[in-house]
Amino acid sequence: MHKVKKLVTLGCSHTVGSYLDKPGDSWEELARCHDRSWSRKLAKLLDAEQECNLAINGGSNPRSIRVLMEWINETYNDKFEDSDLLIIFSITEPMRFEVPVNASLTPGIIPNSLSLGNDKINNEWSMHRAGPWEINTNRHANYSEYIRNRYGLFSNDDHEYKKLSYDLVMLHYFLKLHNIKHYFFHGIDVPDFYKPFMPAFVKLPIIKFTTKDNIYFETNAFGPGGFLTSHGFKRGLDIKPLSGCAHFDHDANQFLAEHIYDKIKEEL
Amino acid sequence: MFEGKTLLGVGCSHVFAPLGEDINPETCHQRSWVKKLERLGNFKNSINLAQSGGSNQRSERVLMEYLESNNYNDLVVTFGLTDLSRFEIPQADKITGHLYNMKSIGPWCVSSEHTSDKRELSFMETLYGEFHSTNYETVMINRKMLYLNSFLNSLNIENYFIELHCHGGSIIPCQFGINLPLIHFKDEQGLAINAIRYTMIQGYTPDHTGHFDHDGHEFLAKLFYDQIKGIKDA
Repeated sequence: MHKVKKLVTLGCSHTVGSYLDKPGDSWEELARCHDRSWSRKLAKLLDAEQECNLAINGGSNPRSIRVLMEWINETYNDKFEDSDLLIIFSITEPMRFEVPVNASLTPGIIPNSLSLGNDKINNEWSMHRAGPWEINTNRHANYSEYIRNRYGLFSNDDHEYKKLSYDLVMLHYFLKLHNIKHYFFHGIDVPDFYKPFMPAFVKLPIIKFTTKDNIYFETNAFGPGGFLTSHGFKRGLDIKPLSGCAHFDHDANQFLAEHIYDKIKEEL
Repeated sequence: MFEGKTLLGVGCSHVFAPLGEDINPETCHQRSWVKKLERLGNFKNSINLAQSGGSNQRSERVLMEYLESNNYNDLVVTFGLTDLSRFEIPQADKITGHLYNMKSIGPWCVSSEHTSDKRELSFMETLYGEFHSTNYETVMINRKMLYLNSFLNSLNIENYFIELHCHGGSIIPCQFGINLPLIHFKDEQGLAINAIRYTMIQGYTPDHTGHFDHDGHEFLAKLFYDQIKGIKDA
């Protein structure tokens, strides 16, 4: 097995390592969650020297792709070659997206204290994490209406799945061209959304999860949530605020990390 | 230069090539620089998947859909980049309810002439007025071109990106050590401009709808041919 020195992980709160109390977005609060995450535990299993958990609570797939490219740009500049790098992309809910927000135009959507470095695109604009949960929030009157209209008028599961499939195909080929080891898995409850839209000639490196009775999730269950609960782990019920995400604790994340490790170690 | 190959063009109206009232796909294609480039490059044939009002997002989608269901062994793709602020949205089919059509969206949609739906108009006004960043769009299109180039190269599909109707200089020619096969233009002062502007500076005047006639497209085809030749020679 080739030693992985650098592990980069992407995704949403399930990759951050959130559990019970939803953390704020300061680096300190995120760092406390990272200890619990499957990402940190996988880095230990791999004996990686460096782990970069680029996930964020409420993170979308477009955000994951954006921050990965920014990270690559900052880390490698014009020479993107690294045989010691492993990227694991936890695919989150396809309906989530990013909204560019200018605080002087629409104040209050992103509090300054919660704006992370890699979600700022310049001094004026930051990327806000949008998802269906914001239909009923009132961060800013125009923003709330914008979100309601977007989901109400112009949202379609098939379209979002298709767009996401294409994005993942493109990312896969970009990383493949640079000989970067990478895997995807369903990080949230969206089973095999890509199948109807994936060109036949494309084979994405997707880590499959099975239930305890060894049935592939594509037939009867969902992402690691179903996988972990079938193996006896319980979801935490987030209470502050009530997010409904139902994250997992240290042990469940450890189990998930070991499963991922088992699936990929032969190929590394 | 391209004997036995098929040229495929994607983009907006400046690829589709309407003129005046003529929006017939067949006559427009005959007028288009795609058809003229087919002849200049000795291509076997050409396919024009462009649409008036089309966005870069649409171009990517129709290209992928084409690759999914067609033989791509002898394909050469020319991707005409258009205004970055355009995109497309799914709109529910009013008859079936569950099916959807893609609707091309651009800044022109911030007008009651284009929709009688007040919610849709409000959405467009808010999107373009408050939640649209050219900086972000530029970052995203650069990433997209890099990805598409990697993807098409992996399939051995020759590909070229043309700064056709986007801001000149939007695309970074070399990213992560990869030289994009980019067709781009500068004015006499050395400032980046798009192909449409460049063509106008050379004396070709678009019609009242903003589009070129046969001669304008012939000029564009020659421009692209020369740059493609230069890229291939390099």
